[in-house]
Amino acid sequence: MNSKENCWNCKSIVKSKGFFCDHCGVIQKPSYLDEFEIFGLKKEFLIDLNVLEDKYLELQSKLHPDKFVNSSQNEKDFSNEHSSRINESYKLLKNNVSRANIILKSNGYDLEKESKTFGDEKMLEDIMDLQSKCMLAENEISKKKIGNEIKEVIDETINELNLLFKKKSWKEAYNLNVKLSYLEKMKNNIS
Amino acid sequence: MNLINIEEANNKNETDEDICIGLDFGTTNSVCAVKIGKKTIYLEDKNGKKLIPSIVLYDGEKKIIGNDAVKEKKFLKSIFSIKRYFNKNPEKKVFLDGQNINISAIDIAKEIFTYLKYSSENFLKKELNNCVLTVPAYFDERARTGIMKAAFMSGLNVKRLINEPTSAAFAYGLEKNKRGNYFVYDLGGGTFDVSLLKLSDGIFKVIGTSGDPNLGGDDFDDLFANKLLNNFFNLSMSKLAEEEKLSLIKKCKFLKERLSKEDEFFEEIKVKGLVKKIKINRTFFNEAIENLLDRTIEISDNLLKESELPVENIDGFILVGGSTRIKLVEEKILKRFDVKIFNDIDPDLVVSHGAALHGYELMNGAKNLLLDVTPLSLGIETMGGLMEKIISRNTTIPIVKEQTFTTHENGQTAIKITILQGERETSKNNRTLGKFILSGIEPKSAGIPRIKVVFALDVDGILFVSAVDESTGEEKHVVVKTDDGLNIKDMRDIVESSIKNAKDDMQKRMLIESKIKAKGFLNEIDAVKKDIDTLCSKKDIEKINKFIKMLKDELEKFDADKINDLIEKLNESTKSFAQMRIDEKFSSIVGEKTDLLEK
Repeated sequence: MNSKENCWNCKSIVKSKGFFCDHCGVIQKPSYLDEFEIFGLKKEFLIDLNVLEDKYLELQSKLHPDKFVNSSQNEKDFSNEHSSRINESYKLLKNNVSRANIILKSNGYDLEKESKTFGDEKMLEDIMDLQSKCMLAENEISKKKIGNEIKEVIDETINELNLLFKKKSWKEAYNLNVKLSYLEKMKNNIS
Repeated sequence: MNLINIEEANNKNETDEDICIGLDFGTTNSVCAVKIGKKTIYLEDKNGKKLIPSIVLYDGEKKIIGNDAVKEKKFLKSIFSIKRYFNKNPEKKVFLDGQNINISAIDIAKEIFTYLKYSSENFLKKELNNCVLTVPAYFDERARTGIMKAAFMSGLNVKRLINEPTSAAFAYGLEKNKRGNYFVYDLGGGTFDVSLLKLSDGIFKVIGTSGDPNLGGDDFDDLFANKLLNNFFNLSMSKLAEEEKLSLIKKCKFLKERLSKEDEFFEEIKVKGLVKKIKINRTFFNEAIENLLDRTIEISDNLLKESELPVENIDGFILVGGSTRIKLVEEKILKRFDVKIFNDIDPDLVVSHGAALHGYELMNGAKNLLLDVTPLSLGIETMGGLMEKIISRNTTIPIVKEQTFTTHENGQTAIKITILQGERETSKNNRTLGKFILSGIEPKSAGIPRIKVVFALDVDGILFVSAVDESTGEEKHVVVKTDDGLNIKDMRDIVESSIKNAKDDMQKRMLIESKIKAKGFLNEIDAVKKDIDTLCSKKDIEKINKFIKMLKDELEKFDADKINDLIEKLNESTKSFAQMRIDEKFSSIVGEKTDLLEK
């Protein structure tokens, strides 16, 4: 992937992954970048969310359609495409489960294609156990208690997942991420 | 107001084309503001008023608008609160003008926009073409498109559509230097919005929004009138003639406004010839409206819970909209949330103020980034009448999302795609925004074809949908459009080119109207072109094609009369076709198996 492209405006050669032409400064047609590349981040499971947010706002400050109200139709369209893609990627990277999925997908494990079943019985039992606790929680206090418990399990799962990613154990990471997605759902339902 | 200052400020390289007004089209009143140089001013009508009632009085050929209509004897015959109809069906011609011609909410709003443009131009002594238009945050696609369309038809180029609470927060952020997490509580004449924003240096980010598009001051007036009638005259509203009912409601509106300044007073009220002197006090009024206000508090509470932001982290509630002058609003908020309240920028004016600031930034290089969200989820109908969400509510816009679906039956060659908006599980409980059919799918076993549906929501909150059969490349585009088949992009192009090429305002408007009509008609014909080719005689087809070509050519030029003439001719030449189509009960998908999508 070392393709060189020409700026649509001034025709000079631009870096294939830049948002603007180095020469004339005009916004470029979006070329495909994955979610991590957009923000210039390493493809790692644990990322600094503050860095992500700063980078997100920095990009939107330059590329948002409000900056191109009086520009040519081309520039307006490019800005709209960039801005949409940045919003979508930011949303995906902010969330643990979808961020894990992006990494897994690039290594051949696609959540949409694989079945969403649990790899092992123990995992299923853990989830069922928490689920029934959730159902039994009636008042605010017990809800809060179970909510905290889920949060703890989520934190543990994230740490475990991080280790699996480091070891490049994609299959195991994939299974654990399915568990994480159920946990996150449970957390949202109880609060 | 010091006009000389404006002229001075104007000397530094700012031309009239760079001016962009902020326009708040309200249920009760509309307000226009503009920032020129360093000053933001509100644009007054010839009566010296900033608040311009959003009412139109049709009197024969005459249209009397705003404060002029209020002075009329026939005032009660005016059309009030037209904004409320945008939530129902803004295209439907359910109103009558002064010559008994059926007109729609869009037609009426267009008159108000035309008047606002005209009166603002008179005040500034400048031609004004650009505006930032505000809409309730909780307005759906159809209402947004409808309002934008009405503004375009008045000759205003809508540079951006922004949400009313966001606009208000923008004004507080820039004029009052507010930084932190702010909750905007916007209770207007017809709509209720809440938005939670994070304001930081140069960045205004909406975290979430919610509301009720059918809750506002108008409802309080109705409830107040009802209670008065019940308690003091032992009557229900249904017992009153239309005009008396309206007159009582307007009286109650006036009493309501007086109650935000006085606790208690006596008032003579006449119903069915009976005059009673009644003691009006706040407790009585509060009882009438309390349930509705509790609903606004519930909506606020739910948004806060959803955002997972504890109330302690909220730096303040910003009150927006005329109805927040009701004392009980503040009391209710303080009782539930224990927060600081801000209303130091006039709640009737703050929305247009923010829009003027944003308009200035758009034209002069935006220094502040405004990130807003979509208020309602968007998706499509799948088997079993369920809604499959594609873009969920509170997603930051612009956004593009795609999802792949497949067929439900063996050999299915067409797919009906129904676009939905709302939060409910079943499609019938959500709003249907549009339907289209993707045909020409290669017949295969159920579940094999891959149909990619793309939803693109732009920064104005306007939705564009397309679908592609990935195996054949058959593509269908649909824009959630108004009934005449014209999308916002087409309209914007027409308005921009007409503004450039017409001599005066009148000519500009005529040109825009004719072009919109022509373009819509051409789109309509295009959609049934296949049928025309099968149903009509060769001679007719030739004639129709000739007029289509001529009309298309004329659309590139700027002669409204010629365009109108060709529309007439094309209409005449397609009449027999239209009749045949009705006779045949023609269906464009005859012989094809159409079914819903399967996820």
